[in-house]
Amino acid sequence: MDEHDLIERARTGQPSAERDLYELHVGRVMRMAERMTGDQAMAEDVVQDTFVRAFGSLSSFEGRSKFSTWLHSIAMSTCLNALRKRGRTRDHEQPVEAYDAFDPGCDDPDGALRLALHRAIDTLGEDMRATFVMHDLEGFTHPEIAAICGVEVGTSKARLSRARARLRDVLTDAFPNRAEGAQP
Amino acid sequence: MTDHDDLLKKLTSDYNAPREDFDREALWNRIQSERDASTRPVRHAPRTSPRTRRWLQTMVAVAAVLLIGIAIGRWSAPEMPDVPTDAPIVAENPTPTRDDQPSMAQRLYARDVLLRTETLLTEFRLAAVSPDPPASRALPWASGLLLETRLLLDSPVSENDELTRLLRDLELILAEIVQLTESADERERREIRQSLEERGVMLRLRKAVPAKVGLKGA
Repeated sequence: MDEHDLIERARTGQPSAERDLYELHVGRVMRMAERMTGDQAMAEDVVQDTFVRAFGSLSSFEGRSKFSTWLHSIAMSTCLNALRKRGRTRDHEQPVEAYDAFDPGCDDPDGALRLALHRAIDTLGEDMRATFVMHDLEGFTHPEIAAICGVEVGTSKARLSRARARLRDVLTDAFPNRAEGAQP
Repeated sequence: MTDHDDLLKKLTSDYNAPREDFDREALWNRIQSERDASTRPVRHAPRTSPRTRRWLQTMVAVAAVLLIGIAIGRWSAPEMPDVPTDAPIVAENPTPTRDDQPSMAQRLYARDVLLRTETLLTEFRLAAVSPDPPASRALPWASGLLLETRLLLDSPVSENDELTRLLRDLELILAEIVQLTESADERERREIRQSLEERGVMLRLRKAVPAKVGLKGA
């Protein structure tokens, strides 16, 4: 049965169709929610709320966009609301001193570099972070991201470019020697 | 791709790394419970057939004509004679009664209208980047929401200033969407989207209808 039929059946309130739609999409929605929140329990709350809202307003889904786009649009909106409620600052397990402890000659320098980048991603603006996460980490295309965020494709590309530039700056500023001699 | 990009990709790939798997069954049960607990009492109206929609549109038009008639009647009615000086004095600002306060049902109804408006505006914004031409099917739906928004503006729910301002902005934007025709060009649609952005409508809508997301893990 194709997705269009599933949606039609779900609109008539058939639980099995809702369940099938859930099974089809929950994996990707959960991945995005976990990437965005960095908190499994919060991500589960986001996914729960996303499906509750989606099924509750399924009658208003007109099919002009793909169902997955519509669903991810709700998920992203729910994620951002939840993050605004919580505040974006997250405590990493590693202490701030990890930066200072970085030693280019040590056995595993990537740990500190990775931590620095992850913190830099945390500090990106909401839109840039969402775009970076969806495109570079979760493999969404620019047209998909544009549809989910309700912006033009060019805006999505610009946001990704700015996010990468910001991260490259962090890389260069924090670890100039490593960045110059970057290994693939 | 440069070395920088490769390094960046390698070191960010595990940012907030998602789990390989999670308990889908448990999450589904939570969704079902949440819907049982909260959605069903304020369940949205089932999808209407084209025939029912036409009937609803007709009824909306009749109601609009009646409202206009009443408005004209009030406007054109002769002024009431002055109250005699010996008439009993009535307090000009009586203490608000319980009737002035929005009831729980009115609050739920307002929330439902705002939720549906958020969905419509999201659809409208999505249509901007959709390869398909925007369908005119959304228009009757927008007209219904416009009417409901106006009703809310006249109800005790709008006693909150912030909500009143939001409802007024929604009224304007919905009115613009309703006036769009199938032949409307991209410029008109872009102006509406700009209007949405300038007024920060989506953000205010989401604040007015916050996601019911708990912070169990926070």
